[in-house]
Amino acid sequence: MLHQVKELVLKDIRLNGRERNALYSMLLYVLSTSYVAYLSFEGVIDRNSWIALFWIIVLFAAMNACLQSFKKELTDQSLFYYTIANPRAIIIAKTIFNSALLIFLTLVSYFIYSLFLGNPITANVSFILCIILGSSALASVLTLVSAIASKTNNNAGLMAVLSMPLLFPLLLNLIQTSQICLSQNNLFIAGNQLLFLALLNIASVLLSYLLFPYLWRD
Amino acid sequence: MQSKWWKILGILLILYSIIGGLLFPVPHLNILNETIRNLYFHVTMWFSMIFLMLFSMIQSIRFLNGFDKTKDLKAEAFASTGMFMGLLGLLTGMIWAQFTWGTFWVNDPKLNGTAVTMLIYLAYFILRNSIENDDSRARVSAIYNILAFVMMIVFIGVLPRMTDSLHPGNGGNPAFGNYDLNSGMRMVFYPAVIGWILLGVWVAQLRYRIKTLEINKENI
Repeated sequence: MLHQVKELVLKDIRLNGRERNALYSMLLYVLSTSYVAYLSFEGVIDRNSWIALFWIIVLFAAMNACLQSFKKELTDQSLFYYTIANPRAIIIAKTIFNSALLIFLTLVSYFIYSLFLGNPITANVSFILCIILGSSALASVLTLVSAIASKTNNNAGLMAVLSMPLLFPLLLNLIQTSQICLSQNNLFIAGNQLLFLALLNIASVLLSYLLFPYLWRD
Repeated sequence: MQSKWWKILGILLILYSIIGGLLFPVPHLNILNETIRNLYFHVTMWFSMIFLMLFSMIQSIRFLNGFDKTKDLKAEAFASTGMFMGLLGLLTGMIWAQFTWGTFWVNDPKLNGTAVTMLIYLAYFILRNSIENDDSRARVSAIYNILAFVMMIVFIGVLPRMTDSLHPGNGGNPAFGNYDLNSGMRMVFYPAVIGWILLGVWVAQLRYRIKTLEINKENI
């Protein structure tokens, strides 16, 4: 099982390395939205709007990134591969890969975004921790939802409808955590929120692990 | 569940709670005044919604063990009845909020949680309608239903307790279990909860039977 997960993650990394345009398009998306934000706020932005806008940009980047995750798996050829692999290994591998991708994307957008709009965050360690936990939670929920949405005809539209309400509280929590990171340079004050993010991660991974085999078998 | 006694019991309990809820004495608190009686009608709606959603999730789990399609229909019937109860809970809460907070809606963790819960279950019904194939519809929506229930518990059970809230029961505001819910109110509240749950199960059962008849008619 662990061996399969490792091989599947490596397969996804290799595939993404071969077709880099997906990654580039996401980076371009982050760059252009940050620039639009810079233009519309004329470089002066209050701190709460900074946080809200940052997480909205990250949310849409994440939805675009995870939407593609089961696109390749629906062709006949890939179905053959998955008679060999364990479905649980597939979803775990996908979640790991998407988490890594989103953590990378969010960190890059943090960099680009603060380049254009400044960086009001004082508690950098907590905020980086919040980014890592938050993007992996986003990834684990979105991976399962994209697996569900891939079973329907209207993939992209349904993905937004299904995932938005599920991600809304997560987003709210991320914004609150970031607001704590604005003023307090103390890991313990944000600790409760970070713990919640970690728990949400565990819960969604566990649910994917339990439910995905039923979704996979057609 | 063919017998009649639980249906009669449900009706009697609801009648008792309506009469008792409007006539029995209640403690007089500032601001709340007589609106405290809304506890019997508003909070019971949420209780019964959560129970109906729990039954719906149990049916979905049972569907995934054995792929019996009647279980999926039952899950759908429970979820839509629960959704209706949630809608009533939202309406009664909004009317109450108008008289105590002065506005129908405030930006509050508890209210946001319920709004999101409604959205999640609406998404569940949209998901059901957007899949043509019967088998995969049942399977996919069962999976989403389980996900939705777990998330709902997180949103209305865990998340509002992490922050301050205007809603009774949070952030030091009085609610049931505290001084304002005396034993007299308990005598009405708990029977009302049981009555509404029984009525909800009955409505869900009727809905399930109608659906089954419709499907049988199509198959003839």
